[in-house]
Amino acid sequence: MKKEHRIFLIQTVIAVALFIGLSFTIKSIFMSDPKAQSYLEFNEGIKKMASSTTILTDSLIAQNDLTFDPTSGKLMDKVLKNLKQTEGNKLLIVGSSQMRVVQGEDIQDAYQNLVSRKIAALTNYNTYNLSIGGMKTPEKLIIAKKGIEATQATRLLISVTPWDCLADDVRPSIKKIESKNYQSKVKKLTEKVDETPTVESKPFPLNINDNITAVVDEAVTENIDIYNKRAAIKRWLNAEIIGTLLEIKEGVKKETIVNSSSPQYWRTLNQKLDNKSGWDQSIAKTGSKSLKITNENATSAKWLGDNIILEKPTDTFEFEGWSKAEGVSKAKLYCIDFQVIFEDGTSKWHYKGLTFKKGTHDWEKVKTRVRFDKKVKAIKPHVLLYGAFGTVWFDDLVAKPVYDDKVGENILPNPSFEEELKERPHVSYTYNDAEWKRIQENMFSVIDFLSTQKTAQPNVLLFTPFWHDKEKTAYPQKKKYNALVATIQQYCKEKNVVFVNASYILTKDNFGIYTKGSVRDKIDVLHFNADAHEKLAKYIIKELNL
Amino acid sequence: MIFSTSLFLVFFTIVFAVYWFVLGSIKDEDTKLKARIIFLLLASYYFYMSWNPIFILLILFSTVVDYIAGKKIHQSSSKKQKRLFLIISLVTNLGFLAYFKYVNFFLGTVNDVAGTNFFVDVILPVGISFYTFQSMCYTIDIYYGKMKPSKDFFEFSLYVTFFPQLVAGPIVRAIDFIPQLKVNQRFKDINFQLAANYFLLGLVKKVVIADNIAKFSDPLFANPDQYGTLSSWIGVMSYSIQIYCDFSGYSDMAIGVAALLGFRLMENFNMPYNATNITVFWRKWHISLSTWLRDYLFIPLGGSRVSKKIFYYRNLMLTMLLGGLWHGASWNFVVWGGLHGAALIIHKLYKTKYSDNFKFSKFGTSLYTVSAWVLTMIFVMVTWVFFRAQTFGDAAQVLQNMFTFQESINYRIPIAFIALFGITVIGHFFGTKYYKEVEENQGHMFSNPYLQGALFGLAIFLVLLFGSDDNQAFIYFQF
Repeated sequence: MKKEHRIFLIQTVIAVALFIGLSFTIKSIFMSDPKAQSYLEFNEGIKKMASSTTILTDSLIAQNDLTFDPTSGKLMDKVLKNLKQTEGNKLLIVGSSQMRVVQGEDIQDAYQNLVSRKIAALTNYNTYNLSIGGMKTPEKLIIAKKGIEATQATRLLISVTPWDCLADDVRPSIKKIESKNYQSKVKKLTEKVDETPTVESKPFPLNINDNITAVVDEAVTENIDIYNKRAAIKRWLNAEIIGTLLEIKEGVKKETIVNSSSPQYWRTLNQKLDNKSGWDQSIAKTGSKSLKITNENATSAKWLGDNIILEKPTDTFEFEGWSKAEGVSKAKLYCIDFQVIFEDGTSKWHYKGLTFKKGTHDWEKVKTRVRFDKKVKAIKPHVLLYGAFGTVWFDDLVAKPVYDDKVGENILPNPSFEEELKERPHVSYTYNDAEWKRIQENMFSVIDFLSTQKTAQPNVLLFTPFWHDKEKTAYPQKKKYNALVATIQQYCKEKNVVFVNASYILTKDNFGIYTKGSVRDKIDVLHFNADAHEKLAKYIIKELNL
Repeated sequence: MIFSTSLFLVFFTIVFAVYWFVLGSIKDEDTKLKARIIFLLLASYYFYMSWNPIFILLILFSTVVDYIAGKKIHQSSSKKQKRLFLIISLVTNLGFLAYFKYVNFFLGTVNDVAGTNFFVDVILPVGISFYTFQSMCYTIDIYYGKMKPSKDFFEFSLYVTFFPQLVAGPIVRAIDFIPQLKVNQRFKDINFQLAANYFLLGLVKKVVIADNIAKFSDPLFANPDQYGTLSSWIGVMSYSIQIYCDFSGYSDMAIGVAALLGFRLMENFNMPYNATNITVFWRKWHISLSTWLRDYLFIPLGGSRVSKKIFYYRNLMLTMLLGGLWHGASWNFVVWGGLHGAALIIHKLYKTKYSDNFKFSKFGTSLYTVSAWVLTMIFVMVTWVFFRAQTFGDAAQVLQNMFTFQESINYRIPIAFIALFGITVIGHFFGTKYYKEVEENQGHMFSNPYLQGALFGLAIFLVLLFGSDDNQAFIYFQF
């Protein structure tokens, strides 16, 4: 053996020894932490969730109960092959997320309240729901065609909104089914359905590669413990390094009164409490309500409002506010903070003179007058507890612009946090002329398709409900929307397609609220709750005389 | 199939075993050589087909055209005929590249100008920019009489498709690689230390650093208007580290894998973030591309040996603009190349007029060097903004965040960023100080073999524990 090879062998031994040593050490430290089990359980939960749609599909197949697509189209081929086989009247529903999302309900019960299930429960129709979130017109047509083949539906209902008739993308998993024939897959009721999981057919060598990857990954996961636990350990390490997951201090641990509503204008992020539970109705400087932050982790917890645009720009402001604290650790930032947006588009954070003492204290006031070197066109208020744990309350915030040494009015909406959220902002859609034209063309193509399908009963085009009242509507261009409805109604008549217009059948209470992202706290104008699904089901039954 | 997956581990184990132990047992040297070439060629085709089986036909077509063109160029007696076959080769390669990579870029530009709406639904074959450049330099070298054509089609095919460097380089020259195919590699000559060093170092760069630090750059470039100055600097620094570790990591792994089969590939990166000026940066960054562009574009344009300096600068700028466009079909890449071209010209001018005349004390020299390094790094980072941003608007927003001192909402610099940034800085420091060249031009390795062994163990531990959960594709696969 060459000297270099001998050295390499020694290197390998060192490497393996060090690897085992490090793995053993880190795993031992991790496992000795009382929190380890919760991290491992959390990790298992995530793994389970990742495969839940597959598990759900397989269990529905096993029970011969697969009448809808629980996979967002990822396993559409498998879904089509294994749909529940029935006789009699069969209504196939194809729409977008509106027809399969049940807002604000528990996931276990949600599927029982889907419009398709309600129709099946209230009529002698067996229903199939092949709706997928974000479905565009070409996808609807592909799935509708294949769905009829697979189910031998006696009636087809396609639901549309302007929103999902705008784009023309087709997902690869849907494209794939276009060339397949599902006619032969139709089985009689008595026939046993295919319970074996369908292996996706891929060309060589991708099929071989998938099998190899599955075998090796399973072997690695089962035999290398550190690899198996790595996600949990990583999460634990991350939390320990940045000092989070500290025990809640006794003094801070209090029952939180959960309100049924939230404060007008303000919303909270990155803390234990949400908009409702963080609106404290028992502690206040003045009045009866204040904003509360309870930080168990050293995160960047805050309440914030939206931009306030000044009627007249100014360079001088007076800011003030009150705060009370319990057990605040040495915080990076515990203060009132204003994001100041200047006329030239640049911005600055101002909290100088607006920070509070740490530890525990009763209501404490901060006040400052500041003159910026540029004129301010807008401000955005925040109250922060960054990089610390503890509980704090804020009340009576003031932001007064100063014009020529004359102090103006407080411009902050709901500065004492006494007002309840009355009207939520909502998501709305506006389109230009070309887009309205495209929407109409796509709807025409759906109607053309419906009119050419040889089903036993006339097929249906459904305009699904959206958030609508006199003042607020999902499509603010009401004239355009109404013109579209009239045109589509006329075209349906010409093509012998039944038109059901359910646009306005729901009320504000039927719609959900976004909880994440840039639309957080706004009304989700397209997706509705279980009551609304029932209302819609009854409306369709009445209109179609099912 | 990417190097950092379990699939590649299985694939390579089989290739390694068959190549050394099954085919290595063939007694007749010529038969063994031939069998090994064909086997590696089939393995390379399998490797490429694991991405998209149909595009193997594209490589095959390109290979056949260049193989025949090479022969014809060599056989032709007249210059005119030689040129004709060279043009056929170049048109084929550049034609594929233009169609698959740039057609929508050209159509998009036409659409912007003429208000039309042309679009071609085309998939970019992975690695097309790399293997077309390799193929082209073969025929160009034959044309200029630098080498003779390969007599063996399989040998040439393997040069074009050798799997370790097929999809993301380093760009290999026929003149360097084909001679390696003419000798039977011996198992006892494998430098395992070197191979393991390169592969594991590359794996750590990719899986531990690049994939994890991407978490600090991706959000910035997704929503640049939501970040302040500090976050934007962190995001841009993160991307600078990400692209280096991603690309050099892949190159390192390619060198390691090739070394395990007995082949030597050129080093593609040499601590580029140590550079104290932009000229040195380009000697250390993507070396196989920059030398390719120098030899096959800059010099044929006239290089630096031109009658007027202005032509030299023109050649430099053209080379960098096309180098930028090579990276991607977007004006952002052209601007990126243009900025580097301008910086190179400014540096040449500065060097000629000033820097050679400077005489500093020891402290002055250190201060000058540090200032030059800071300036170079800031320039490189700023240009990465154009490289990474989706649109000019996004790039402008990120730059505005960085340079107009908008206070950041993120008051805390993420610990993970500090750790990954630290690893990269320490890596550069150690790499420069303690890595020694192995034999002649064979690569670099740690000078202490036992410490190196410990580093192998640490690398495996880091990869298994801190490897990103979702396998991100290598950035350079898209080029």
